[in-house]
Amino acid sequence: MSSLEGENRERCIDAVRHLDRRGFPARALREAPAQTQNDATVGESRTAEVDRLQRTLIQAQNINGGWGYNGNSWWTEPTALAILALHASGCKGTPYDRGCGWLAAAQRKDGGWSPHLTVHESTWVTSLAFLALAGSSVRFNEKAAIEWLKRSVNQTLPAFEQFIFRALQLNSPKMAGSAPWFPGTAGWVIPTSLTLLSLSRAARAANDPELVNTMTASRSYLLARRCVDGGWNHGGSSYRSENARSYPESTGLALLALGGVSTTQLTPALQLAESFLGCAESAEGLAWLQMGLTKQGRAPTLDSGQFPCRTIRETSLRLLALTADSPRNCLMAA
Amino acid sequence: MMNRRHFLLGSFACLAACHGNRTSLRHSVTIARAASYSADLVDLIRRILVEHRVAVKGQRILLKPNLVEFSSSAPINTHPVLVASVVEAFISLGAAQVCIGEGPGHRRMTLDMAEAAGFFQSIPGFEKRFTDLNIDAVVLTRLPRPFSSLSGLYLPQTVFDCDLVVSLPKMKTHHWTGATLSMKNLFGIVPGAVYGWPKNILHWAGIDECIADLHFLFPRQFSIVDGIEGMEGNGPILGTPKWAGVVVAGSHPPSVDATCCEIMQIDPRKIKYLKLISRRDPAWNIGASRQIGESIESVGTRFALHPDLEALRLVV
Repeated sequence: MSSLEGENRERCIDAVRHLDRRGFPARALREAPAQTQNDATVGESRTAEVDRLQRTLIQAQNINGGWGYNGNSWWTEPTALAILALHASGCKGTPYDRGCGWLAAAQRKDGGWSPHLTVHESTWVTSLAFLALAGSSVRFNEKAAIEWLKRSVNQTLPAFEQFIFRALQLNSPKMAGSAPWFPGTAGWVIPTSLTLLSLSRAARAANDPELVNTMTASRSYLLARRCVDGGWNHGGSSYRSENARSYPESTGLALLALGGVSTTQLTPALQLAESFLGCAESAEGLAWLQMGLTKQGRAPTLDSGQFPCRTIRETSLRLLALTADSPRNCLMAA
Repeated sequence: MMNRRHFLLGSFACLAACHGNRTSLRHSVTIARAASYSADLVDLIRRILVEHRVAVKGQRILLKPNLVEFSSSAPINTHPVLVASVVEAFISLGAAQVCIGEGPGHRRMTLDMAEAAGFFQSIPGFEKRFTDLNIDAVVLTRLPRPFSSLSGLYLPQTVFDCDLVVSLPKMKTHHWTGATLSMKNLFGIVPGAVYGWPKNILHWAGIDECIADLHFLFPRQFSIVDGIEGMEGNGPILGTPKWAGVVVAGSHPPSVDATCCEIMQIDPRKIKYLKLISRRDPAWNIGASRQIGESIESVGTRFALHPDLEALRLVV
């Protein structure tokens, strides 16, 4: 056993002890009935863990069909992820249908989704909502959603603006192919990766050259935004952040989105992602790494227990990672 | 080093000078030496709060530390021992509720970061007190007379449910704004679930302008800057540790930040967001704040700046 593995084992044991001591961490779920608690159990089988995570999601669903980050509200992102996770793990029934119904009803007139019903602007969460509903039988305005996603990706700058940026030796913050978190702002790694996944899913059902061009530009953006260590962080790998390190979660997600790209180009990223498995920092980081590496043909360990799933979002991502080999996993199949 | 006697003498002198002039007291800034995080910070903070006549009894307090990265060693985050001390000080003075809220700007796993940074270990009942402002319920808030190009922002309900927002930043240089202190720290209240990670809309609308806009949204604030160990160089993340050995505090965040800049040997008159505040608030002049306790000269220490920002250097 390497020293790193030894450290991880100790960390894992510490994490479990910590959970036992303080109970379930997330505030709202802490208030949920005992059987919904999400404490990792040492030695738990994969099937048992899937069952437990499914129960957690089902019992945390709100009466209107949506999910909150902590089980006490209704946000688009955790709802979409919970739907994807239930679908991937074969849990299709009333909770899944109610979730899809809520999400479809939340689609806005412009084709996108806002993060929360109180927010009056469609944002990056549209990519996740689209992926969640594209795998369901619920009716929604798929065409409008795809158009919104295409519009959200930054296009090549006009020639004059390109000249200015070149003259100043700067990268345009709105690099072609990148997608922003919030409309009108710069593109970043995570929303671009999620948009690329959703456009890939859309491209399976439509012969749209514009879609293909957009996806090509998004892949180029991601490859250009790698950090010096070969992976990805939030996207700040340029001026004054040139030595910034990669994050496990964005490296895993970018690898997932870059499925199909030549592995030669991704070799440093893959090596980094594998090294991150031992120090993923969070349940989210570990889940994206596991999915990204699986997508790239690697076989990462699916061990968990190192990190507690503190929110519905993390519970869903863990469930999606555990079902990475399932054909029903829409993130993997995108 | 400032002991209790010096602190009290300085405080009485300042209070005498400020008697009958609440504006001066409002713009007063305490500079207190703290040799390390093992010093009696609870007592220090309690004395500062009393000194500044902060109404605490029965109040709901929201502490806003700076939590940015997974690290318990690099001085990126506000030290958890200082946060714990502030919690204890407010409780001891009769606060009805002391909550902690933060919405990190780059990473999403807030509680994992808090754990790695030592918040769970250092702050009793941390998780019960803590709200992840990135995923809190939001309300659309109009910005009155904004400096930035924004007309409004979705902001967490939690920050409006409290009586006093206490900004607890780390004393750091910043590779865009020059210095990140109590006012810039309020970027952490802007919800990532709406605006993303990073909260890039604030950059597009003007970083300095947004700092000023957020300041004017919260008329009741108190600032306590963790300048015991700060960060210099390519801050706020990639810089290097810089020991300054001070806690800087006051009721008027621009005065506190201007004082911190002078301690760091950065010219506050060249910090754009401070200039914006002075333009809007005629009762306040940058550099005219009154110091309590230590003098700027006695604790001042040169914080290295990003090479492109050397023009911000204070000419002593």
